[in-house]
Amino acid sequence: MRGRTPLPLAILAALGAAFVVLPLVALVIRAPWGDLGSALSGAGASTAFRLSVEVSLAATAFSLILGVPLAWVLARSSIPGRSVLRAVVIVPIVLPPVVGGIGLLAALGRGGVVGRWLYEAFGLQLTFTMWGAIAATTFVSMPLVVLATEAGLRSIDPRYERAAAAMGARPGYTIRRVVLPMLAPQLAAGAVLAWARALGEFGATITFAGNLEGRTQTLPLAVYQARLTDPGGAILLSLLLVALSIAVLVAMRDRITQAR
Amino acid sequence: MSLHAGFTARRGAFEVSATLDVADGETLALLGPNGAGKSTIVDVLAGTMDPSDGSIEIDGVCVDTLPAERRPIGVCFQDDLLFPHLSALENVAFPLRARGMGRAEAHGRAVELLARLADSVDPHAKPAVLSGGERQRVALARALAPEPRLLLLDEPFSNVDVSARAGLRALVREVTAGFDGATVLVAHDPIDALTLADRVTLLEAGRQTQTGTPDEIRAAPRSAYAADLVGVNLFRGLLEPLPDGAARLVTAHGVITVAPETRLDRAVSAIATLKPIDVALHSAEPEGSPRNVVHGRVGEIAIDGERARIRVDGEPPLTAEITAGSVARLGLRPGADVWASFKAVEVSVFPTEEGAAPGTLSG
Repeated sequence: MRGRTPLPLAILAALGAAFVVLPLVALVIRAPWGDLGSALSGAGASTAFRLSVEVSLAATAFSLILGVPLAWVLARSSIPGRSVLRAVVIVPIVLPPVVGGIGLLAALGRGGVVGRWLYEAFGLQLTFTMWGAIAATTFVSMPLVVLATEAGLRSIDPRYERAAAAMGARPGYTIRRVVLPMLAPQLAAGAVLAWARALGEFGATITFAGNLEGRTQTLPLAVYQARLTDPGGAILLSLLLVALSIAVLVAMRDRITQAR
Repeated sequence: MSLHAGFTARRGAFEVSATLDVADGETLALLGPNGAGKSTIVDVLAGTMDPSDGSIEIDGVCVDTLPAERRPIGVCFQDDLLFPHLSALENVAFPLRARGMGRAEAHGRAVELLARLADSVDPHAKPAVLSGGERQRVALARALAPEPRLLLLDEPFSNVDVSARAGLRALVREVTAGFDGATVLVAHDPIDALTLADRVTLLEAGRQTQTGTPDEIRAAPRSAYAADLVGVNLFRGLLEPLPDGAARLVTAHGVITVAPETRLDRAVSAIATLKPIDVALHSAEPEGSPRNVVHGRVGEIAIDGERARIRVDGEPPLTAEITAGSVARLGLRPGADVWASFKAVEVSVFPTEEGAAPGTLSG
């Protein structure tokens, strides 16, 4: 039902909208536009931008590779402790990212539970490398893929899979030709949400991978560092992130912003 | 025997036992209420559920240990289950591609099948834009695509609106008549079973309670369910339009007046059903003017608790169901004179020719 909005509601709604819009407008007002060229062409900014894109895309890929099978198990298998597994897997969504970073250090750091063994056996070290940034980012992004994919799998009538089997399709063929295509909208939604989350990742990355320019310093980390020495540059870098985020929203506008 | 199956399957605490023998070219209808175990039997035959014991032979070959892709079975699923992301053509080609046939060959065969069974359907259309009848035609083509030796039709009319059913029934009849393997038709509407099957097996609570030809079962239903379900009066004949919009069905044993849902512009062959409970009995010629009055003699009287089924030998012969008390009140005994009456609107009419009632065939 659409009709007149009561005045108190209208005022609060206007305040709510202003609260979201104002910081973005303020960024535009306060940005030292004259420095735009030098700030964005500086080696630090372009490196951070490139690293952000690479790390977030890699994290999205790993989130899909690991998250989709996980969602499958959660939606379709009858393993014991499934609800516990689901709760554990989505913990990173509610966990403060810095705690995730600490946990990753304890597990995969050079002296960590598994990391020590990785280092001794293979000379593999994740901390302070781009792979560390990717690991930290995947940690926070993957649950979004799991949630979206599991919801999608639950919305697919399981009779389609049984029908495919009755028509002679082996499980692999059924997944390739039936389940994944029917799941495509949810996979896309999960991937975009994971990518957006990965792009903004800060806490887990700086804790686990550190803040090394050219290796682990993604855009959010660069903004954080620039803020200490060059507040104007921080604003310009922030606007770069705003532009990327809005691009995601526009790409997903049908799915996210439009009410059904 | 083309299909020879005897098995028991369990779903939780529910147990279903079935013995099914279907000859080549024969259609066996599996008729029962929801929850009787029809889907369980379909799943076991299709190979998507393992029976707890028993075995299934198709053309003399035991298929128990064969995976679904090596069983010579075509399935037309309840609610059609066409894949929404694939075109009509790709849906029909699916069972071929799943079994490893090349794309070009599979699509070629799918095009042929669609042309034969669903010529009004654009092969590249997605199922969502097709009507219920068109979808079912595509589903039928998909079932026939792998050239099966056993055709499983699982409630093929469940999702089709009434107006499209006559055409679809005619198509299923044509397909099963031209099919040289065994056909198992699952139905919960007795008219489908009675009109499309050579033999009917009744399933109640996981057990087969009666198997026989439609006429055998209608003549001697062995349970209250069977009586309700298939103990209907069934008429076959030529449906002729009357000037007042009604129609008459001329059968080999008498004529009845009926009220078809759509206007006819010519005579067509048809099947009609009438529930025994809609037939009233009178000990003298009834007053007023019901459209249908049949004078005859009381045949068999079967009393089952409060209900009595009375056979009326007249033109046409009828079965009526009345209360046991009315039997005495009307003085009914075998051989007595009796008048049976029923309204034209109580008769359900099913044209069996495609194109019988113009405007009612939406596909």
